Parts: sequence; C-alpha cells; structure tokens
Amino acid sequence: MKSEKTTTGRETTASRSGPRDAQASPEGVARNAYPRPVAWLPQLAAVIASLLREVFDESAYRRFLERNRMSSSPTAYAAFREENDRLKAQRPKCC
Amino acid sequence: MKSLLRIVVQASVAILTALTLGILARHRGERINAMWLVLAAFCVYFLGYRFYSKLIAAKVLALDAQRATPAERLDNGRDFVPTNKWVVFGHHFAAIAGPGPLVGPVLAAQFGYLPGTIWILLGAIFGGCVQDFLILLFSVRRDGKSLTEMAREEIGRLGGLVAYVAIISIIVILLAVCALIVVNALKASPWGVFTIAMTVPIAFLMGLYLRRLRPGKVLESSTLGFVLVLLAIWAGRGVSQSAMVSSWFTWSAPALAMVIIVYGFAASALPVWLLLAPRDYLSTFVKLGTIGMLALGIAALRPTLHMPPLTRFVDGSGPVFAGKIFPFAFVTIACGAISGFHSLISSGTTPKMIRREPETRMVGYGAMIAESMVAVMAMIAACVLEPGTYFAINSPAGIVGKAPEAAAATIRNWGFPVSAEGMRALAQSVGEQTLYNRTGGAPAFAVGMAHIFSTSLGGQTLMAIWYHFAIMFEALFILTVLDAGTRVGRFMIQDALAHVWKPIGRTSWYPSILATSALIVAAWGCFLWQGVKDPLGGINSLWPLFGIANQLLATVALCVATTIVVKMGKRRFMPVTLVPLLWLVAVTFTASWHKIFDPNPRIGFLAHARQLASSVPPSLEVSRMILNDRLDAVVTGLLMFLVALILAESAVLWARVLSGRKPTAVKEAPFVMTRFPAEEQT
Repeated sequence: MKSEKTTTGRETTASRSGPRDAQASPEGVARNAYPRPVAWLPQLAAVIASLLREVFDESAYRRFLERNRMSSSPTAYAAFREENDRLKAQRPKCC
Repeated sequence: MKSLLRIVVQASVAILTALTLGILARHRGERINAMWLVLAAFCVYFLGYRFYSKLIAAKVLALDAQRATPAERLDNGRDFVPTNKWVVFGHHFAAIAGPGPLVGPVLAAQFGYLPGTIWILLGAIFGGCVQDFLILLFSVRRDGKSLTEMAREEIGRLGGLVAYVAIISIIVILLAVCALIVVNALKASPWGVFTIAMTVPIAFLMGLYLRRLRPGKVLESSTLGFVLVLLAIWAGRGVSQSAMVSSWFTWSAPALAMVIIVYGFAASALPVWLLLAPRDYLSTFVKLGTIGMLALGIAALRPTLHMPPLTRFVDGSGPVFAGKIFPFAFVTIACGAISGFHSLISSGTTPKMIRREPETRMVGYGAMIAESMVAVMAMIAACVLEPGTYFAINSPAGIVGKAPEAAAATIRNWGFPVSAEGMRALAQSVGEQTLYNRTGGAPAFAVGMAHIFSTSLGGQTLMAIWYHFAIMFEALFILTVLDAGTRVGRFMIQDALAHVWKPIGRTSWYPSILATSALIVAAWGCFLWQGVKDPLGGINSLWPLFGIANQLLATVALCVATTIVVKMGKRRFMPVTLVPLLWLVAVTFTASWHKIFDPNPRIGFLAHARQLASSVPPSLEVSRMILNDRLDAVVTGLLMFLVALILAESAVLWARVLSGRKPTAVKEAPFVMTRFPAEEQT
C-alpha cells in the first residue's frame, strides 16, 4: 500500500499498518518488536489478564484509586461505584 | 522469500474460500459437516480483513498513526483512557455481543443453512464491519462524538432528530423482543425460572463480597458467582422433580411478562446497584465463557448439519416467521451481519479508549468479524438439530396446533420427520415438560448447544444440565440488556423532555425518574404484552419489526458515513458505504412495505387486523389485537418515513458537495501530534 495524504494534508505511513501493526504492550509487559516463538506466551497471558481487568472494571477501579490518591477500602470502592455506575448507566448494551 | 510465502498463503486461502463456498452452495442430498461452514467463514473473514479493510484503511480513511486520539488528548482516567488495542478489542466485542447474533440465525435457519450463512459472511464483510470501522474512526476524529451528534453536524438538524427517533424506537422494540424471548424460554419451565431466580441472591452475595470483603475484586466475585450459578442449575433438577416446589416456579407466559415489566421498572427507577452491577459482571463472565466454550465444542465435535441448505419455506410460508427469503432472511439475521446498534457502541465508549488511529481497523472491523463468527456458531447450533425437531420447537401453536400428535403430523406433512414420542423423549432428556411451541429461538439454540456440549462433554446424562445452562446464559444476559436498555431509554426521554420542561431532565429528581421510567417501560411493555398474547407466538411480528428498526438505524449510520466520505473528497470510494446503504434501503423498505401492506395476514399487519375484524365476533381481546396490529403498522411506517427523510437530506447534500456547490469541509477535531514514543507508532 502506498502512503496517502490525510484529510489534514499530511503524509501518513499508517496505510502500511496490518494486523501485526503494533507490538504495543499492556501494562507490565515488555515490548518486543519481533517476539521469539516462546516469548509471546506470557505476553498473550498478560493481554488476556489486562482485557479481563478492563472488561470487569478492575483497571477502572485502580485508575480511580490512583487519581484520588486513595487505597482500596469499602469506602473507596463505594465512591468508585457511584462514579462508575453513573457513567455506565448511560451506555446501551447491544442487541 | 517472505513476500513469496505471503503470496502462497494468500493464494491458498483464496482457493480454499472458493472450494468451501462451492461445496456449501452445491452440496445437495447428503448431510454436510459443520466444519465446512467454519472453514468457509474463516477464509472469507481472512480475505475481508486482509484486503478489504486494509484498502479502506489506506485509501478511504488514510489512518494516521501520528495524529493524537481523544483518548490521548483528553485522557481523564475515567472514560477517556488510552488502552491497549487488544484490550479495547475485547471490550468492544463484549459490548456489541448480545442476543441478536444468537437468535437471528436460529430463526433464519427455517430457510435452510445456506441463505443465512451467505448473508452473515457477506453482510459482515461488506456491511457490518465497514459500518463499525468507519463510525468508530469518524467518532475518534471528532473527540468521541455520538452518532446522533455526528448526524446533526455532518448532515443537518433533521439527521440528528431522525437518528434520535430511530434509536429510541429500536431500544423500545429491542427490549420488548428481548423480554419476549425470555418469557418464551422460561414459561412452564420450573427449572429455568428457579435458576434465573437464584441469580438474584447470588448477585446480592457478589455485591456484598465486592463492597465488604474484597473491594474491587470483580473477577474473583464473578468466579464465585459463576460457581454458585452452576450449583443453582444443578439444584434446579431437584426443583423440577418435586411436585410441590416445582409448582412455585411454574409460571405462565402472561405472569412472567408481568414480572419482567415490574423488574424493568425497578431496574430503571430504583438505586439497586447492589443487584444490577454484580449481575452485569456475572452475565459478561458467563457470556464470554459460553461463546468460547461453544467454539471449542464445535471444533471438538465437528457436528453434522441436519438442516438442508434450502428448505421449502423460501417461498414465504415458513412457520417460524412468514415472508419470502428476500427481504425477510436479511432482516431476521440482524446483528450477525450488520447492526445499527453497533454504531452506538462505536460512537460511545470505544472511541474514547483508542490509543492510535490505525487500531480502529482491528477494533471496529475485527470485532464485528468476531460477532459474525458468533452468528455462524448459532446457525450451526440450530442446524445440527433434525429439521423436524427444529420446526416442532420453533413453530407457534397457531400454525401447528397445540396437541403434540397434531403438531408432529403437520410437521411431517411438510416433509420433516418428527414424532410426538421423540419430542416427548427429547423434552424429558432436557428436563422440560414440553418443547413444542417454544418460539423465540432461545430454546432451539439451547437444545442445539446442549446437543453439542453433551456430545463432547459428559454424554446424554448431562443433556439437561447443558440445556438449562444455555437457557440461563441467554436469559441472564438478555435481562442485563433489558435493564441497561431501560435505563438508557429513560435518560434519553429525560434529555428530550428537558427541552420542554427543564426539571424533568434532572436525572436524580425522583418524580422525573419515576415518570420517565414508567413511560419507557410502558412503551416496551405494551409490545411485550402484545407478543405474549399473540397466537402466532409474537416473534412472528416483533422480530421482523426489530430487524427492520435495527437495520434502519444502520441505514442512518451509513448515511452519516457516506456523507463524511463525500466531504473528505473521496468520491471514488463512495461505493464502500453507498453499496451496503443501497442494499439496506432495498431490504428494509421492502420488508417494511410487506409488514404493513402485504395481503397475507401472517405477514401484513393491516391484513391481519382486517382478518380479525371480519372473522370473529368482536371482543375486548380481539379489539386489542386489532389495535396492536395498527400500532405495529404505524411504528413501521413512521420509521420508514423518518429514514426516507434522512436519506433525502443526505442525497441532496452529496449532490451539492459533488457538484461543487458546497465546500468539502469535515468537522473533525484539529490535528494534534501524538506524544506517544515513536516505537509505539506504526
């Protein structure tokens, strides 16, 4: 694929991106542009763990604690739920 | 060397695609293994993703890895959070995967496995994936704006209004259909009702665990909840076998409908987060796990499809729902091929998590491929059943009769062998009193899934457990769609009415909460009640209505996408969105026309109302059914009219832009260079 001008008129190399476009890593996972055959296994496990933590709001709770400089406690969790539920309540679930 | 290898692989996939599709299309007479279908699906998805999505990414959208996304620019640690692409992919998939791709293909299987499968594959590659991908990227370039906002800004005020009405209508019809599916799956099923009832105390327990014992440990509490749900399913067998206890949990359809309506109101109006949030987590946990298990089950068992590629019902006389293959197969499949509802997710949470623009391709296009794969699995689950069994479960009493022998005889007359004895034995093996007239798709899917699971794990002794596991899985996550949808509908009504009277928009003011909750629950409750009372099973009327509403919303989304593509100056690539848009217009408008005006009373709402008015002595019940038919006709007509308006407005805009009478300016957020390190960029 050739490079293409964006709507903002700048040259981009993004068109060369493919399914293997980024070796971007989730938190705590070493970045490795060309992983060796065995090296990707822990990386995969880490991605799945991050995914589950995100889907189940554990990451959102961690971010909430960091943002408010709190440690985990029933009170902190209650405050997080209040904030999180307000955001979640306005999101539809798909059919 | 590497590029040679790539060419060889891609050419092999192309040949395999032609081979598998050819085998599926030309196979007649003998039964075929489901793995042909899986293989064909994988090949089509591979080609679609590798070539078509890449073409769109490069030529139409010109994705820019150096352009900062709203997740980076507006990062607030709450909703705007730059997130790893695989995590966003999973998050997006969990949000778009609902009951639609499971139920739609099961219902469409009445035409045979071929038409539905072809539409699932081609509809996804050229329609659904494109819509999700483009709307996601356009929202990312507009600070995560919603579909309604984009429609208003890019098309005009009318576009925004139509998008709003389409969304609220689809929510109302969706919720009614979801509730009806649950009612039909749980009516006269003490085992099923007990299991679902037990999820309430289990969710409370999870809530307490989360709040008091281990704050924030959702995965732990969901695992605990899952184990308890499995125990409840196991205990349900004992409940169904005890004459006294089972009578407490044996409910009729109208009684279940009333309970669900009250539940919906409570979920919307009361601060019951202790119950709803943990149940939501439990539902997601079960949903992701079950979809994974089903994929593994199909791969391990490699079942044979018993349904023929095409059935006699392509002529429109089908018992599950009436109407010819065109357009009804296409509106019935719904979310497995293209879903307007996805555009709400693609312009909702997901764009606020995307770290770099090129990732929208994998998340938007890729997650829809995964959703389409779920639909293929549902098609397989329905088609592994003997066709006679499939039609016995899915045909309403109004078509095949109430008595088992009469129903079996009718189905045998259609050319699908089935016996009353065999159906009785099947019902017994899954722990139900009867499996006749279980319209809605969920029970047929559950029997198919139980068949796949019990053949690969545990044998016939676990058939009943697997069946009720499948029913619990469907009912649980349909109920979470129901309570989330009711709340969202309530917020939308509050937002709209606030323009008339400001206090009604206050989301924490109880009189407003109660009034708007009652309004939205009454809206979908009315359709639900109509479905429950319908002698044709309700699904016959409501599912096509839902499919039409959903695809009309997709039409709105594709109008927005086409408008932006035109304004970007990419007129050469207009067909990328215009072709699926025109196809959807043809399908939905034809389907709407038939649903309103078709002279066959099983298809046309008005013909059905006329038949009721002429053939029976008037009674309150009949008058209500006539009113319902007319209401359905009006809703369908209104949706059609509104979408025609947005189409006309868009077409005028395209003509003005293409003829140079209007400047080609798009309303994107200004370019900001990403601060992410270069090695993280593509």
